[in-house]
Amino acid sequence: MAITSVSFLIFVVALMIVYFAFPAKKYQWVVLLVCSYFFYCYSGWKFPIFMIVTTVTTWLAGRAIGAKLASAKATVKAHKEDWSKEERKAFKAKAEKANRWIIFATMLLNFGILAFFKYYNFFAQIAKLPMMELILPLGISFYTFQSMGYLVDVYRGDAEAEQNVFRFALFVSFFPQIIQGPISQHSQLAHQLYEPHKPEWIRFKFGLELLLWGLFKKLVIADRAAAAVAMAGDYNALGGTTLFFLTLLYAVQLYADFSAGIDIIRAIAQMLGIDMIQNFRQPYFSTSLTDYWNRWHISLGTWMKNYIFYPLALSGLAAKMTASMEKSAFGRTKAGNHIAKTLPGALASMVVFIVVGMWHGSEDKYIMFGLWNGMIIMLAILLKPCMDWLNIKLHINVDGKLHRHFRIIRTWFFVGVGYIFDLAPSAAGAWIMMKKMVCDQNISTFITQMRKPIPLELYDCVNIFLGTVILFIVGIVRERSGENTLRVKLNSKKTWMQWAVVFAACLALLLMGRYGPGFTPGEFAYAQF
Amino acid sequence: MNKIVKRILLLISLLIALLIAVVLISNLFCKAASFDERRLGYYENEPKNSMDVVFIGASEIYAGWAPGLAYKEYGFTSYPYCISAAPVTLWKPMVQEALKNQKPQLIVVDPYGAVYNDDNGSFGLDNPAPKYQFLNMVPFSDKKIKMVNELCPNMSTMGKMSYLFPFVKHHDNYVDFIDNFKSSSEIRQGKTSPLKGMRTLTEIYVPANNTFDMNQTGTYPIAPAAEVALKDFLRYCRNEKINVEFIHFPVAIVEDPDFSLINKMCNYAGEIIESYGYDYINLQDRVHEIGLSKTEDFYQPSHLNVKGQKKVTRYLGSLLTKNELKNVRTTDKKITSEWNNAYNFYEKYYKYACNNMAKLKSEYLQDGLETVSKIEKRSN
Repeated sequence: MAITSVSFLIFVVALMIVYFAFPAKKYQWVVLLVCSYFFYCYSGWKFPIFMIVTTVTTWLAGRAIGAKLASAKATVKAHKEDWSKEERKAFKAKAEKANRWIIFATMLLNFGILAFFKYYNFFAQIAKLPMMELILPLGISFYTFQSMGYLVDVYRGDAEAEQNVFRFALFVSFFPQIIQGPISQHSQLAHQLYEPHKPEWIRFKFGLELLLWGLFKKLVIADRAAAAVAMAGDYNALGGTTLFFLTLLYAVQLYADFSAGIDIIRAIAQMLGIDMIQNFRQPYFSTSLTDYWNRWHISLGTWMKNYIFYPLALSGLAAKMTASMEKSAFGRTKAGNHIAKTLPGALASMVVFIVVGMWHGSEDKYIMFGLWNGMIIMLAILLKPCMDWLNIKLHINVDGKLHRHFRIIRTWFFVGVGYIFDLAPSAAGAWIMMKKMVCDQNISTFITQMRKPIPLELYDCVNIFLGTVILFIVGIVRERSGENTLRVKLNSKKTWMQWAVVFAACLALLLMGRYGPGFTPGEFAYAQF
Repeated sequence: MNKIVKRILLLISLLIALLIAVVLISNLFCKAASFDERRLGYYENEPKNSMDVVFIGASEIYAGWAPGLAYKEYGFTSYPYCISAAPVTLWKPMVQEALKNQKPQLIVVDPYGAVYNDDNGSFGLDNPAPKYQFLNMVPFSDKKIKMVNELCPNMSTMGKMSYLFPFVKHHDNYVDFIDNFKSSSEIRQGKTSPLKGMRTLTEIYVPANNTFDMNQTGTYPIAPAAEVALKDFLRYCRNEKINVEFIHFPVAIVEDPDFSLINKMCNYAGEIIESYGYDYINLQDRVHEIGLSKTEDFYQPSHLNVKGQKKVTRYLGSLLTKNELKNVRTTDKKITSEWNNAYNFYEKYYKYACNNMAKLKSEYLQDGLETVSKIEKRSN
């Protein structure tokens, strides 16, 4: 059931009526659970088994860890007087070791299932094993990451272990986020799911406005650009200028597509009384690649930061590395001291981006994508003092507007190279595309190829252009005044004006949207991961 | 007023306002977008019960038949109620619409539409394009809903909605909205077109060989689905007592194996037609009698140019007058004036086309403001 389809709209309307009319408010969450599983089973009745395995194993593990932590805490408290500090420490370490084994086993199982679906055929090809026709279960990446994050949070004491398996099942399967996230934290999302909610007009209005915005981005920009962007796979037949244009178009299409899906999901959740975390914050206004990854797919970045980056960068091994480097002759120099302090973080960043690359898929291009991003961020961390020194020497005003715009354009370049890896069918193809973009610039070839083979009619180009301009303007407003500014500002206007804007938005969507005969609702790009 | 009630009313008002906007845009900007739709639209504006003959079928007819010339030389009014690539499955609803305001003595159908493949390609029984062209010009009603259900039995709801409401299909092509508005304005104002549904390309087709391949006798089976639809149409005509004749317009048969079967498949359809008691005439068998030349009279392998059109119109006009039509000369001054104008315009159209062909200037001449004004301007 595509979330831009009429059937999904009917499903959501029916859900809302049942949800808000449900008499036993304490068990309103059961409606969400039933509907979430209904939605999931609609995509394929065989797939829920994997989600159920993840749900049950994670729930059991969480309970076990929670129980062990509580028991250990109680035991230590009971022996506060008769145990020494070392004895208490040793007892805690023993309990933690047991918990770590539980986490390890649960992660091995659940990430193993994910890895099997994503990487079996890749390794089968190498090891000459029989290939299998594997279809990735809907949302497996998202709910696996979300569940494992919950488990670590329980271990760290950042979340209470959920005692009710059905409530936990709702946290894992909540349907708006199952297709492409955001990856939520238990402490942020869970209580909202279980609390009773009444229909609130302001939430409904804000949700509707966000929904229209999401549909606008998806149907007017993303789905129109998709067919043209797909042509980039046939890069040998296209000129460098055409490939460059398609990369720019891809940047627009990917952002419009992904953020549209998130907006639609958040809009539905908002109407239900649930606030989901923001997943994008005007990423193309980023002034560095680090900034970009703090603004793009924020929930994945947060997950990586919390469960990979910090554990690595702040680990005992990292501290030992820093200490031993600082003691060395190189470490006693200014540059060496800086590198000693920042190298663990830089290496942890590289690891994070290799994982991000692998999360996208097993093809070499995704590994290169991860390595490219990791390398740029690593170099930025390690070479920061050099860049600062250069800026001073060249009298560059780093706080000025010009420098900010330079940094934004520089970031577009770094991001764009990453997109080329994404767009190309392989890493080798990406190199060829980049080479062509540099060496094979030809405007007249581009103009010819824009008519054929690029499948964009005049009205497609007009719609994409107008849509992108609107996207850019909204981005500027949000960058300056915050995400909710437009909706809040609109809400302060007279009623007739508010409805006029909603009417105009609906009409723009009806006129400019890509739907109707011959168009199947486009799959969201990130649903494939 | 209670806040909840007020808000529900606001929501309903929004939906109604959107519906009104969509209907307005649909009717003003999404119709008459193509020459086929304009042809059907102008037909609706012809004076009631003024047609003696209505042709039903595809492009071979509106390329090959000159109504203005037929009126001048034989005195009967006629109109090609035709759509590009119209398959046999469309004949029944087309006849139903054609007979809404007209009571012609004769309906002529080209059985070419029965030789299409059982697919949704350009020459397919399930080709969506002619269905859209036709249904876009049918006013919304119970009858239209029934037509859509019969023509698209296995289609999704959204697919059927696109046939019922042109807006669903044409909504995003607002780059052409102004042109569509101008064309549909003419039709909404009740005007008729002096072209009377003709369409041509001012070109001469140059075939690989000069002679008509006359080894095209015999029959070849048509697609089973086409046969079912043809028989259904014949039963419909019989039940409704419609006077119909089946006439296959000539084509310049090419050496392409797919094309070479067309005549045989038409003959196969002809046998079925005759078994139901209707007449079938294959003008392909009479190309020499008509005086057609493969190197002068076609602009495409299956489309006559204006020269071939003149010859076929004269031949067929004579045939119909001798065998089918009785007392066709109308005395209604409004109708005679309209059709005298049509003939005058036909002469200008013919001259314009021949002039272009001589200069090797290729352009389409078809229903629409642009063509009419171009021809009028050149003739002045």
